[in-house]
Amino acid sequence: MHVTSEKFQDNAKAAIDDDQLQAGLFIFGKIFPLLREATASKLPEFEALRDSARDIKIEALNNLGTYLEAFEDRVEEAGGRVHWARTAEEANTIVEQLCEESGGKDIIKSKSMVTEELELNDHLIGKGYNVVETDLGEYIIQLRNEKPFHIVGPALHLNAGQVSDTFYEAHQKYGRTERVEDKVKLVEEARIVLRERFKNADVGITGANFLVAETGQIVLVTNEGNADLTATLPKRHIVVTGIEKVVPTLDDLSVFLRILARSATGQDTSNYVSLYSGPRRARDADGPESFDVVLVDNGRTDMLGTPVEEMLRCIRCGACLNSCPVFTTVGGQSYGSVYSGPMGAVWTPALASVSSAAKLPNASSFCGKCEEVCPVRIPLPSMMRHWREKEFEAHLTPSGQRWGLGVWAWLGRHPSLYRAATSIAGMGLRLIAKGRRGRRFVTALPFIGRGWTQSRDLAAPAEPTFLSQYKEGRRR
Amino acid sequence: MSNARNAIFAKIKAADAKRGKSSPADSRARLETPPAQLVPAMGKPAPEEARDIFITKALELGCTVADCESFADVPAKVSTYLQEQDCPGQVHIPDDADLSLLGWEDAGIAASSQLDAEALDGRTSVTRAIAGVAETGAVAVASSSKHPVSLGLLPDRHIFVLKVDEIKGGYEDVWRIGRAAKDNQGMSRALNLIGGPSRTGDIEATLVMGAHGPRTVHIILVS
Repeated sequence: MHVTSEKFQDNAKAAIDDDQLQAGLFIFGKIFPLLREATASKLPEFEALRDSARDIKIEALNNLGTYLEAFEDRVEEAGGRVHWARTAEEANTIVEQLCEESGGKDIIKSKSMVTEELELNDHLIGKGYNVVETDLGEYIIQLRNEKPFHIVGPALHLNAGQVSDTFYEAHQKYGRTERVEDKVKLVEEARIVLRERFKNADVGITGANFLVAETGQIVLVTNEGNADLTATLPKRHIVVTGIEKVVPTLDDLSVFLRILARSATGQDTSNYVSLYSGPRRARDADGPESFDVVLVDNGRTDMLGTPVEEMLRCIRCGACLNSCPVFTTVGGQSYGSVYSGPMGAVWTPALASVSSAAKLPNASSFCGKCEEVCPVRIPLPSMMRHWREKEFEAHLTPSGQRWGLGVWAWLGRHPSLYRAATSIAGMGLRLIAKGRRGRRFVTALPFIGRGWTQSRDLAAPAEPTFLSQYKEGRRR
Repeated sequence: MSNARNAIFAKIKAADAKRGKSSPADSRARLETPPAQLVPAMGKPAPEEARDIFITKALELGCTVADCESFADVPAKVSTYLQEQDCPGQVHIPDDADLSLLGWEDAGIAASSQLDAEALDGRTSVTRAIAGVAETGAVAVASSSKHPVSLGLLPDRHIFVLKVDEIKGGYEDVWRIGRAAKDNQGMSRALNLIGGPSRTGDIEATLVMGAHGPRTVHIILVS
């Protein structure tokens, strides 16, 4: 997985100054959270379902080997094949070989974050295949040669005008020379263009939201129905997904289906919930001739038994991104990783490296909102803290920051000096603070504090201090 | 690639040993006899209420619903719907005796069994279903000789013919039906829960119907 996270600060600055992007971020930061709350409030058992979902994922990860073996057995029983890939390279090679077996060159794809992680499209296009994304959002960003902006809404940072420009340019070759600006007409244009691709495709590649060990089924959840067309029309269906997607049984799956769409887009259900296993049977009237599941590790087993194991519970709903004050200010592309926001800040260092993704776990205000909304209750802030510790241990933290932390730690070990220093600092802050609505604020800090007060004020420390009150209380 | 498989399982085993929390026998028992999970009240409505809840939820998903006394009346109901939609009296039906033996001609409808992608483009399909799900308003279908999956994907209009007693409470009821129909290859290739017309919100989060699949979904409830 290629990451460009070291440019996070520059990207973030540019994003904050981009008015059009900020308008798009309103959808993530405001509309999705409101929809999520509205739909969750109508399901009294929502919180209890989140607990169940967490417990099921813990069970699935504690017995990952047993469930993956069962899944593999059931897929083979259904006439399908399971392939295992340790790395992105292995996964891409397996998919390429399966495509080669098909004898055709035209591939249609349904949205899959794992294939984004593997950079599968680039690999296949490099080998001479025509690969077309069919989820509308993914199709738009594919035409624009961008990475997904958000794991659920990959193109929601763009406005209709930008989509119009993109289609106008890309669809001329299909004889569509009229510029279309209306959203309904834009969707129609994509439908017409992509319908032809569906009909002529040799291979369909999908991801999987879940794998059911009990039945060997892969589960796909969409609103457009594009995953179902991808899984049904071409003569070959290839599923590419991560090993952590397995859940034990169909009853367990129900729990996730009840919280996924509610957490992601505030829908009671996605419009297409589909379970597939194996190729077309003798009795079937349609369906692919072959069914292959490529199960990808790519760093996941390295997370097992470590403090970031709980991240493997993630169901990619995007709720943590939508709740995050950082994501909803700087947007997905600032992160330089296909996984962004709080979940991306934990996934990216695990899948890429601590050194290349060190900026991401630091891009957090630690407000805790992500953990509050996570449907599987992943303790995201404490995991970001874990990566910060790893960063510090590896001496990757900027020298100024290390020096500051060193001074603070030294002071912490010398309580009398610490108290003296903080009381001097407190006096200084109260001295330069200005009154406003009955409270006192520092509006301009000197020295390295300048950056902090550029965009916000610092409340002056209260007097008397906690420690002096505590001492007073003890004396009484 | 068995090397990769071995390596992945070796790492999983190493983590199991480190944590000491795996219980293979219990997990296999869970797969044999899946324990019930928390099912919310809306997933198990009282049987006498399921029909009305299903209709309400299906309407919320953007479906239209019509009542029908018997299978024999289905072609007339389809004809009425097509006239309302200003569509030609043509439908595509699967090889399913429930539908193919009906008096389509008498209702002025040409019923075709053509199922290739080119033929279905822009047309109307009529299919049966295995269940209606009151919890969500979705209709469940399973692939078979009687149900080509593409009939629910390629046409512009999809009409479901569903018996009232096929309306069930929640997801668990669909799993029960699916498990009961298992053969030596397991579940049917496809088990789809279809919740209304195909849609997208991918441009400015504005909901637009008819993304890739049917633009309209009509449910004829046979009592």
